[in-house]
Amino acid sequence: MKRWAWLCMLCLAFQANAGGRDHAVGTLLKTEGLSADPRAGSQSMATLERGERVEILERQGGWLKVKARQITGWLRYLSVKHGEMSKSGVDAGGILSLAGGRAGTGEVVSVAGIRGIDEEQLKSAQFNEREYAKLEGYGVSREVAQQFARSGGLRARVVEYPTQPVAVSQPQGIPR
Amino acid sequence: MRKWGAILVLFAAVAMVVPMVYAFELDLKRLGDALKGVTGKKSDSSAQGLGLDLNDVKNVLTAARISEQDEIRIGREIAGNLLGVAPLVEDAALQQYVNKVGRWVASQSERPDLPWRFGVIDSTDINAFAAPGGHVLITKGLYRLLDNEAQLAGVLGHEIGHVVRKHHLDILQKSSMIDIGKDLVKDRVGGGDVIKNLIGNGAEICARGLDKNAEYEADRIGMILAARAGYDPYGLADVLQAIGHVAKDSSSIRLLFKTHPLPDDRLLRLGEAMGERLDTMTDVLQLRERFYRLKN
Repeated sequence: MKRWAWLCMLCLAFQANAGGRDHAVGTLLKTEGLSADPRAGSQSMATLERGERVEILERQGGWLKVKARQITGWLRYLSVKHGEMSKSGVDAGGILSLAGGRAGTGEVVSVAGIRGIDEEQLKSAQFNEREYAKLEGYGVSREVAQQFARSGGLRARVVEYPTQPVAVSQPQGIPR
Repeated sequence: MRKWGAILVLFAAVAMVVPMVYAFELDLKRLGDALKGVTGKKSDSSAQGLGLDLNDVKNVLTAARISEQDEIRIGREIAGNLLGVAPLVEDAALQQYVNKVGRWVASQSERPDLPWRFGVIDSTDINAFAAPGGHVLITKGLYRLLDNEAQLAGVLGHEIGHVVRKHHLDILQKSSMIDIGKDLVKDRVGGGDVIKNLIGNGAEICARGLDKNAEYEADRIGMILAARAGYDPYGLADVLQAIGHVAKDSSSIRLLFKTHPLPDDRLLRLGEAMGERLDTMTDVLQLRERFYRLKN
């Protein structure tokens, strides 16, 4: 009997988890037009307001395919905050893998209850010779790094730094 | 009267030259010569005659330029102290992996030949630290949030940005501008370790944090360096998303939120800065399969 109860609970938990993944939710960080296609200058089908919720369907490069107000379209990846706004925080590991376009691993990040690195520790820190020597020892040359990159299929390319934007929006909280 | 005039001219000359030295790392000997020219006298003694010691002027100016060698020494002190708070994770394969990714990303920066060192430190805190001269440390707590190599590249790229733009040195200079140059010069001559006295406990700077604009700049650099390295440039944004979902009151993220702008603002700023810039990038990789997973 007890075993059945456990199984039921497991199933429920699994379903709840899967449900959350299928309908990833996002919140707009700024007011933006819902584009018909994932490219700049494409037709805007509606203007979505900052703080408005959308359903995230997929990601393509710097764009997210979303559904909002019964319309499906595209928003800039950097204009949408992923996930529900929740006070307790959500499964960050899952969110990350979703952002990468993959199903989540379901790993829950457990960080509560352990003392973090704080100001006091940093102020009273003592130099650690042994660990510093280890850090130095792990360093690799440019050539080794290049070889490593090549083996992964990475190809260096020219991308200019952006100039600092002239007009920046004032940071504001998102209405809940 | 003429004496006061000369002092005024000298003062004006110094005021004009200081920012130039800072920007272009002007040679001090030439500066000394220039000052001689301004005062119309032939030697250092003339400056002394005006009640000014040219050596003092030089020391003030030296403060604005810290050599790469000194930069590395300052960074060593900060990184070594951080390692005193949290040692490296005992996993050689992990540390080697992070160094390869980090060095590849740093190779795309304007300072590819610094002695770059990367490490994962044993702390459940969610944070990453940079120290001058090419030192980058990321906590195990932050590493655990990552899901692919592009995200790691983005995080390391942000820290590399702090090093490349000398954000920590700026803070140090602002807080003790005159002493730093003076004492580093003394230190080189004397061979003693003055750096410790100069920056106090090095790790303290990590608790104080940098200004917000330095963080936004590091975000932009991190994203661009990852892109240059061939990674999906949105890896850093993925991580900012994840950080935004860690409970705000969690002790593991307290220091990061104290020293950085909130993730939402960082995403917005990135969006404004990047615009359409990265839209045409193709064949970028996330390398999820190759990403080194923690054993525990």
